Amino acid sequence: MLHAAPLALSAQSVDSIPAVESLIKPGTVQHKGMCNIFVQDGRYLMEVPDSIYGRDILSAITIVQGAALVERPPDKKYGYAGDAVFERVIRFEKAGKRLNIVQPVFQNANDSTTIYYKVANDKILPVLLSFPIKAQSDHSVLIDFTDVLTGDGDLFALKGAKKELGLGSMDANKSAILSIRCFPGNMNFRSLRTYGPGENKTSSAWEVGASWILLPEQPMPQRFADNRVGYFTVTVRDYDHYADHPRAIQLAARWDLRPKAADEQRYLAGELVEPEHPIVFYIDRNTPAYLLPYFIKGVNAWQAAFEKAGFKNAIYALPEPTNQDTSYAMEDVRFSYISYKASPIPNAYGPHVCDPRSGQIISSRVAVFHNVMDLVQRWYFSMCAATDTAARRYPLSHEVMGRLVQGVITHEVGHTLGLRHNFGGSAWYEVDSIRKPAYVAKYGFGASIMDYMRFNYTAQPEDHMPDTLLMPGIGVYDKFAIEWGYRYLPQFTTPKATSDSLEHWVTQQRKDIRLRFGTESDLMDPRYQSEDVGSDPVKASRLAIKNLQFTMQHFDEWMKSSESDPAHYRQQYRSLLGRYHDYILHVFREVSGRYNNREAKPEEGLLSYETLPRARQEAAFTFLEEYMLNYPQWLFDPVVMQKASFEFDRDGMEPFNISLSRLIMAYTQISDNLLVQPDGFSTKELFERLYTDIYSKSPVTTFNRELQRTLLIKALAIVETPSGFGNDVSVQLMGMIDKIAAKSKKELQTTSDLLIKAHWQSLADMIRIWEKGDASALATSK
Amino acid sequence: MKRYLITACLLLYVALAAAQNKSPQSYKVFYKDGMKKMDGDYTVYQKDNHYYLEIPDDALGKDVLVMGYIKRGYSAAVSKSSGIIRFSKGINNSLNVVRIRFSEGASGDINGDMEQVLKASGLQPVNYGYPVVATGKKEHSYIIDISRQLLEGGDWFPFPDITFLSHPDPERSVVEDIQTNEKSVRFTVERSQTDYNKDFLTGRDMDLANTYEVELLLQQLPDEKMPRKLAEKESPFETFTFMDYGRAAYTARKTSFIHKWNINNKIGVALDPNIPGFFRKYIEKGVLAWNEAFGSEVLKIVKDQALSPGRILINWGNTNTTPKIATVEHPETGEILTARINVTEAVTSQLMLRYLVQCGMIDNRIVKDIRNAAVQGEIMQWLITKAVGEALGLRANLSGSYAYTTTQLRNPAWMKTHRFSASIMDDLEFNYVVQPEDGIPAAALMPGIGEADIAAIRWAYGNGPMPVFLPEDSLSPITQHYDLASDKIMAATLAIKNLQRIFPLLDTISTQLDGTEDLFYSNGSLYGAALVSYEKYCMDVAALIGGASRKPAGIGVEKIKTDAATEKQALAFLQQYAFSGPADWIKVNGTPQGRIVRVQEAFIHMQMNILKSLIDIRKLDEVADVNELFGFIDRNVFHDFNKDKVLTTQDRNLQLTFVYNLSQAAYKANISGGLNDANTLLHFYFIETMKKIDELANTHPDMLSRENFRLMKMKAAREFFTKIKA
Repeated sequence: MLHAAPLALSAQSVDSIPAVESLIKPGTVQHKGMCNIFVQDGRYLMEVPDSIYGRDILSAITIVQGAALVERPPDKKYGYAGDAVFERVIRFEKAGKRLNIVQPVFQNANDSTTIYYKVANDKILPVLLSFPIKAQSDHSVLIDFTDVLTGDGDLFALKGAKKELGLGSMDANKSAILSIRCFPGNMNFRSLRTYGPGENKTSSAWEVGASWILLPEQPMPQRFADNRVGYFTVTVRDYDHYADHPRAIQLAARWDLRPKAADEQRYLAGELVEPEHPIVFYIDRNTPAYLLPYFIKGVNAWQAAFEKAGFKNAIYALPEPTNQDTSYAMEDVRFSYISYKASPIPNAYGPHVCDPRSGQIISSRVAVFHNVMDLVQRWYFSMCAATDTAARRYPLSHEVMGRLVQGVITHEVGHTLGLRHNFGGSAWYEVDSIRKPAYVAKYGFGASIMDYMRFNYTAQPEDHMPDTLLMPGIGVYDKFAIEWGYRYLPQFTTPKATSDSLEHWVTQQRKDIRLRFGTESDLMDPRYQSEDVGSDPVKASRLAIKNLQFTMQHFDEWMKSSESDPAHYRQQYRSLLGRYHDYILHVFREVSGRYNNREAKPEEGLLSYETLPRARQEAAFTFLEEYMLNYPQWLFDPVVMQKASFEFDRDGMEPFNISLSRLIMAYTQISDNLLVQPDGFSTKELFERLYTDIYSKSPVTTFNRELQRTLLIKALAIVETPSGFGNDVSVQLMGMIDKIAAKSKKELQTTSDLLIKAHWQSLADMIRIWEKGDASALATSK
Repeated sequence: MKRYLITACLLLYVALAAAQNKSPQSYKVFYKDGMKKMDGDYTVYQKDNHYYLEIPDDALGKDVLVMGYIKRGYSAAVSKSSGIIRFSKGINNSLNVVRIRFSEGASGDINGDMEQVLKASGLQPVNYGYPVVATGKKEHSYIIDISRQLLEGGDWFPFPDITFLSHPDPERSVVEDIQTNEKSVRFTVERSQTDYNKDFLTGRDMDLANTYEVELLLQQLPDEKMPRKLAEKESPFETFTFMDYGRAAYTARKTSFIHKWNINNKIGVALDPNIPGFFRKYIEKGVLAWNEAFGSEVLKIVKDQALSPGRILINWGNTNTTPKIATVEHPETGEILTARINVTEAVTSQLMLRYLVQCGMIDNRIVKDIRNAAVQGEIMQWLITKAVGEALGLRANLSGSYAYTTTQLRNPAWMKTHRFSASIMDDLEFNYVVQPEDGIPAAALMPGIGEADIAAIRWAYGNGPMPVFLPEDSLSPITQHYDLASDKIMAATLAIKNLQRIFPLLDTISTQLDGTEDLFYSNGSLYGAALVSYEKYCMDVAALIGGASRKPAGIGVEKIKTDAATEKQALAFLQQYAFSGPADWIKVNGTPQGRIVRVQEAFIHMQMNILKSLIDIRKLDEVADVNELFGFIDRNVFHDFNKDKVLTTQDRNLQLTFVYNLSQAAYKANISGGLNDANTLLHFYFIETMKKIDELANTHPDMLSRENFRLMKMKAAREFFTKIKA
């Protein structure tokens, strides 16, 4: 490869550069390791050994101490101690009398026999930084990197996360280098950085850790992603394996697990062995003590999955070392860490830092926000209070909360292992089966903890489901996915050969339907939904609502213990309502969706898409008529509403209107489905049944009036949009609008109640305004 | 974990800026001949126009109040930059100052020890860094240059929101006095600046100089902090909030705590020597009235005039219409550290007129002398009590005046043990429901500390239960401003009776006016003052229609709407007092000063305000009987669209103005933007009304009225029909 080099270098002689020893004064503070750092006369000098030229260096920034902020917006998840906020890969290159830091480009272009080899390698690597060489030895050069170290860059400061953290300009007067630590393969730099007001509106101070590590000289063998197994990926351009048609290929992100050399044969013979470098997570020392065992269990739960890949003790968690252990530093990018953050964000996340050459996961910084506990306790109450008496207690016991959080940890650690969400994880288990404790004990109630399947809300009190079986665990898909990603396959010498073999293996494995992967970006397939369980959404939602009804019957009684905390009472009631609407939404796709099998290989014999049987669509629509278009009186108990400061008109109606709007807006999908399923549920039926359901009711209640208004407003909005022109959607809606107009006029004549008259008058006038384009037609007594 | 450690070494912290601070001078080098020294816990040094402050090592990390306020000059300001700072040893030979930022904390331990977790993401930024000029004579103390803080404002004592003091000229600034006391230093500084501006007298643009005397205080606060007081529900005290990780299990919630004083050491109230002697006794009584609520002598009058922690300063001047109150609070505890109140006699002037028209028939002193000094003193006393209530942290309590019935307020025995409002913190005027025959003494006509105030004080400062408090809600009849009694219709009826009694006397009383009175808010006359009150009474009744209040009930909230019977009575009241034209007793043509009294115009103005309230889209769907309401409007505005009705000019004016307002209201809430009960009702009524107007525009026998109906159609077309697009 060629490298861009500053012109100033060209005319100088290398001989004029002094020796390193001659420049370093006696008594200078020195840190020796991967590079040697000297602090001399207020300047920072780095002695870079020749041996690391061309080596890829990962530079990562971690927040060691977060800033006190006036407000922490809920959409800003970064800014806390332990956050990994930026990383990049750099490389030192020598260019005459200068030492450059360049931005490497990663590609598979090592096979010199391919036709694109030369052009692929004929690239200039961008020079990110360039330093004059101050001194040299026979194996190193010395540069002054003070300005880079102390300035606001992304190698040592927070520039790479400025937008996310809402920072202004760095204030050098209030910033300082705090410590430098050098090791043979890595270096850590800690600094205090003060930034002026940016998006944050106020200044902020941060303790920042920069970690530089040498990436392996020989990258981990790549594993080409298979979109039937949900892994995060990194992209490289491949000239080696697709010589005629170079392409961007996706590499699965995964840890470099391999047996120790001494164990390799035993491993290949099928014996469980420990990996040479197990995955270790350190748990934030500030984590509440009662949660620590559950954090550890949440991590260690993955050991069983790795055993499918032939490794034992492949992953485990340990308490974070003490401050006295100088070999450990939070910012050291080699260490994985689960931090516990004082944050009102009800969430957690599990990212990872990758080697872009191979997809090797270097480390991960899992974040657990304090208020994720609030979220899971609300979920558990709303889904399982009917079946688990412990869910009714306020506050939940540490033991129950620990188990809830354990599930969160396992899910987030799953991400750090490379696994994506598998929204198909809950789709394959029969509802009747997951109500049986013996079945659930054996198989779980879903195939993957990487789904958002929360808890088993289909279990009924009479099912006597043990509380431990209400919570999800690692499933059969997870084990399959881990085996795909982590099975050590030394017999294949190229990633393509590995990929070809694994592809065949996956095809065979997928005969077990539970191993199918459902992407979260699929918005059509009813099997791939968030927050659901079971293979039949209608059946599952009916059972779930039955549980909700049971909970509502006892809500006030169960909430007695939380009456000292009215906010909790309000929150729990709203959680129940939110869950009710979630159960309704799960059924939507049974009306308007279709099954997608696009990722399947031809040999699997699956159609790329399939429509839902008419009977399922019918059952789903009937469900919606029952639960969405009828006022659920039982859900709006006046005593509870008053205690919860809840007013139906103000707080309760909107979700019904939103759901109705969403159902009407599904006309495009329903129209599309009709093209391939002529006897399927049609837009004509959708509109006619909605009209009949909604307008056959008297508008004496807010609920009925609001649904009538929403149906008309959405119809008027769609009828003139071009997307409604096809498949006669617009004309079908025209017909419905005509019927509403006629009904309004008729009802107007016979109604005496002023509010109801006003209702019909407004519907009729709204249509007149729409027809005429303005309201002038209303200005007449005729 | 076993890893080979090559080297691990903490560096000396060095600021990243290119310029490095010089090393501090030794004390010997710093303290030279000619330098003045004022010894204290915080010693001050002066050399020429340079001032230095010595901060002892044991003051680092302590809470220090920095506060500036204008002592002399046309402003009542306490500097908005007043607050708490903490010193710390900084990097690069500097002393850092952090202004406390407090938005997260743990007020309990239900989630275990959260302090370390909070600390991990709670690094406070350094606000200011100052080079350490010298080390002090005492070991480990730091001397910094504070000349800029004193002469220009700097970081500690600026007045950025006072235009004519925002950029003082250091050359013209003079430090007049320095006092070092226990853990504090107080500076009196004269600051001047010049701005090119319009001269009020000549109207010319010119350089205008302004000079203020400001007092600047640096006071280290005690280590022991006042415990916070939790506001579990709506609180009668002002509150501050933070994200609290210690109160509710498994969650962090914004939690409110109240602003209050630490009354372990009494609250000293200093009265400005410039307060006229006559008012002084009323002001003192107004201040000390709160001791009854405390149940002990918490407030005491002190002589020392300096504003300092634990002190309220009452200054005379620099306010016109209402007393001005400023407080400084500790951001972490909510402790009110100090307060300043500014007042002059001008704050009583409007209220004297109100007292005349509302209570003149009960208290003859004001009829005899509209400037009666005793009445003015009593009003001052009330206003001071309310101002001190605000300084104590109390919020406006608009439900205070709703607490009692008119029967109670007219009962002499009951009034002996009660004030006429449960809270003096309501926006009150006087007990205007009292009738001459009730035998209520004049003293009971003035607001005073009520039982809600006492309950609030005993909750905040003692062990009393938390009182129910309703925050302001403009649609709630309970929390209206300047109203009185829970039976508003009766209250308004009684109030109008009093107006009727005083009205014939206003002609004579007006002769006492000498032209110096501010009658701007009274439409230029005592009659105007009476008409303003008349309209207010009617508006209080109008607020009942469609009114809804939300009151705490158990752990939840109960919504209470005005019932149909009350609405009916309210409409009957409005018909009688607002829409039947001015009664004979109110019809006067002019004042002794030759001013025309436009009674009819005032009534039209009132009617329109009432009608706007009746068709307010925010409450139309809360009206118990909309038929009744729309029928009322039809009857009183349109005479039931009877084409045989001969319309007067006033009728036409009202109809046209109402249609104009109705069209605008219907457009603002028009149905093409969405449908709800309120806007469908308004739309329906508007359309129905316009249909009838359309017909009258063609059929009304009177030409002027026909034209008026046509005009209404045009206005409606412009404001609604042609404006709305699909």
